[in-house]
Amino acid sequence: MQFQKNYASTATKLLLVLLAVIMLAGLLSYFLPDGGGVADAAVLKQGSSGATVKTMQQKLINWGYLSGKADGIFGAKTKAAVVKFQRNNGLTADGIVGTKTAQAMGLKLSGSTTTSSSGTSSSSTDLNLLARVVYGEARGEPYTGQVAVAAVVLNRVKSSSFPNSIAGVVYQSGAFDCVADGQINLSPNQSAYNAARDALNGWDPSYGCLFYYNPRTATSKWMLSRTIKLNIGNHAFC
Amino acid sequence: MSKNNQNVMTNDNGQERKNKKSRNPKVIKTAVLGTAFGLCASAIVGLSVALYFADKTVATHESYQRQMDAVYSRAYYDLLDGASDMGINLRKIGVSNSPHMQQSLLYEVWGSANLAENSLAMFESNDEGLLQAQKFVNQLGDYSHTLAKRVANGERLTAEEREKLIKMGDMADVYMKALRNVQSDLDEGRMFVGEGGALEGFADAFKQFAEPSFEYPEMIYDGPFSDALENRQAAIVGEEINAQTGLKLVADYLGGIGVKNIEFLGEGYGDIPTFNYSLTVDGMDGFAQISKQGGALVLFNLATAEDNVQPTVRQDAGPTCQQNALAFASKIGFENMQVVWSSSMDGECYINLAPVENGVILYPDLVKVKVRERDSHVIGLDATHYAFNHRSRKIPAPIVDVEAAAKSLSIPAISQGRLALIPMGGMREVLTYEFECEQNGTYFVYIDALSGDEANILYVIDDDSMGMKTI
Repeated sequence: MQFQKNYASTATKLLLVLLAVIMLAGLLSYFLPDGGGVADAAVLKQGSSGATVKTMQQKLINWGYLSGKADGIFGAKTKAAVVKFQRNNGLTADGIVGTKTAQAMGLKLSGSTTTSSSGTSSSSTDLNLLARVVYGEARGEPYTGQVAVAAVVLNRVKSSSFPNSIAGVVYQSGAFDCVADGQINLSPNQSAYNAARDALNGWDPSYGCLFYYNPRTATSKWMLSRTIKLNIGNHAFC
Repeated sequence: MSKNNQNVMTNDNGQERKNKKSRNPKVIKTAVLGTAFGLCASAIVGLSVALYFADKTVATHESYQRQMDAVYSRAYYDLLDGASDMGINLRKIGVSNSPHMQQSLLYEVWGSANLAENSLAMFESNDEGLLQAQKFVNQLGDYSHTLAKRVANGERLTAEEREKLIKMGDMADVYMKALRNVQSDLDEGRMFVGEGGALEGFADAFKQFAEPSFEYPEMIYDGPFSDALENRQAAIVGEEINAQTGLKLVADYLGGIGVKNIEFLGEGYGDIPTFNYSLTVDGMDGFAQISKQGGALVLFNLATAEDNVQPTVRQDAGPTCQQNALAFASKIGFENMQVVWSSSMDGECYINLAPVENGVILYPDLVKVKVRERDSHVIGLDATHYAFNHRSRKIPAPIVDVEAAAKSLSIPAISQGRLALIPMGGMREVLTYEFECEQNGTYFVYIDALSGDEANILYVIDDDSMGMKTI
C-alpha cells in the first residue's frame, strides 16, 4: 500500500517533470540553434557547420523553407528544409547538399567543382535575370518553350504597354509567378542560360507574343480571353 | 478449518479489495489533478509563447506592410506628378509659336512621361485598362522625343502633329481624373496594401482606357513604340502551303544536318503564320517553323545544353563556322549573303548574315545562324528579320562619296567605308557608309550617304557571358 501510494505520487511527479521537460524542450527549440558539428568539405549534411551552411540557411529562409535565424549549424530543422527544397526542385530528397542541390541553390561548395553555367558570370545582368525567369517559369518545358518565355519578356520590353527595361518587366506586380513564389532566386541551369541568350540574340518562336499561360491551371478570365497564337509544351502564348 | 481459513482469506481478500477500492480513487484523483495541472500549466506557457510569437509576427507583418505601402505611395505620387506635368506642358506646346520653346517643352513632356511610365509600372500588369494607360504614356513620351529631335534638326511641327499633341493633352486630363479617384480612396485614410486597400480598386480607375469607345489617336511615327510596329506583315511571297508540304520542306532544308523524327506540332498564328514541327538531330530535340506563305524556314533551333558538360571551344572554329553558316543559309534559299557579325559564348557561335544587293549591305534583312564550335555543326537559324523586311527596294544612289564621308569621322577608321542600308527606329531605313573605328574600343560609325550626317554609332561590348555585341 505504501508502495502504491508512493507509486501514485511518483507517477504524478514523473508526469509533471515530463511535461516540464517537453515544455522546456519546446521553448528551447525556439531559442536554441540546431545541433552543432564539424564542417565537411565537399557536401553539406546534418552536422556540418560554417559560413556556407549559414549562407544556405539564409537562402532557405528567404525562400520560405526554413524559419528562424541562420546560425551556420546544419541541424535537424535545416535538414528538413533541405529535403523540402529538394522535393520541390526535382532533386533526390536525401537532405544532403551535394553538387546538384548546391547548384540549384546557387551555392559554391568548397572542395567540389561546380561544373556547368561556366562563364555565365553576373557581368551581364540582363542575361542572368532573363535566365532566372526562364528557369523559374519554364524549366521542364521543351527548349523552344524556354526560348519563347524569354522572348515574351523581351517583347514586353519593346512593347509600349509594358515597362521599358527587363527588370521593370520581370518585377512588375503580378507579372510572373516565379517572382511571387521566390523561384526566380533559384540558380538557372545551362539550358536556361542558352534559351535566354538565344532570345537576346533575336530568336522568338512566338513572333511578338506578350503573354503566356498554362491552359490547364490558368484561372484568369482576362488571360483566357486572349487569342492563342502558339502552343509549346504546357504553355499557350498569346 | 479450511472453510474458515478460506473465509478469512476471503475476508482478507475482501478487505484488501475494499482497501484498494478506497485508495484507488485517491490515486486516480491525484493523477488526474496532476495531469490537469500539468496540462493547464503547459497550456498557459504554450499559449503565452504562441502569443508572444504571434505578436512578433504581426508586428513584423505590419512593418512590412507599411514599407510596401510607402513604396506604392511613392510610385503613386510620382505618377501624379508625371501625369500632371505631361498635361500642362502639352497645353503650353499648343500655344507656343517658337520652335525653340516647343523643343524644350517636348523634352519636358518626354521626361514627365518617363516618370509616369516608371511609376505606373509599379502597379499591376494584368489589366487591360492599365495596359492601355501604360501604352499612352509610353507613346506620348516616345512621340514627344521623336518630335523634339526633329525640331532640333530645324524642322517645324506640322498642323497635324500639333493637333495630335493637343488630343494627347486631353487624354492626360482623363489620366489625371483616374488618378484623382484613387486619391479619394487615400483621403479616406486607406492604405494601398492589405485587405480593402487602394490597390484593389487601382486598376478599375483606368477601366475607361480599355473601353472601345475611348478615342485614342493612331500613333504612326518614326519611333520604337509606333503603332506601325504592331501587327506587322511578313514580306514573304509565294504560294500558300499545307502542313504536309511543310514537313517535306523541313526534311529537305535540314536533311544536310541529319534531321530525323519530324512531327507536325500545330500552327502558329503570330505575325508570321507558320506550321511548327518537332524534330531531332544527333539525338538533340529541335523545333522548326515554316511560313505558311511561301514555305520558308523562318526559325529552327536545337536544345544543345548538356548537364555538367563543359562546352568545348575550338580556337580555330571561326572560319569553318562562318563557312558552314553561309552554306546552310544558301541551302535553304538565302542567297548572296555576307557575314556581318559573329559572337561566341559557351561553345556556341552566333553568326549574323546580311544580303548584299548592288554592293549595299541590307542590315534590316538579317539572317542569324547558330553554330556549335566543337564540330562546326549548324544548330539554329532565325530568319524573322528577313521574313519581315526583305522585299525589292528602291535604294537611292549615294550623293556623298566615301572619301567625303570618311572626312566627317572624328576617330580613326580601321576599315574602308562600305555602303549599308540600316534600320532607323520605326520603319525608316537609311543608306549609309559603315566605318569600323578604333579608339579605346571598337565603334561602328554610320554616315548618311545622302546628307553626310552621322546617322548612328554602335559601340562593341566584349562581354564574358554574351560574347560580343553592339549597342
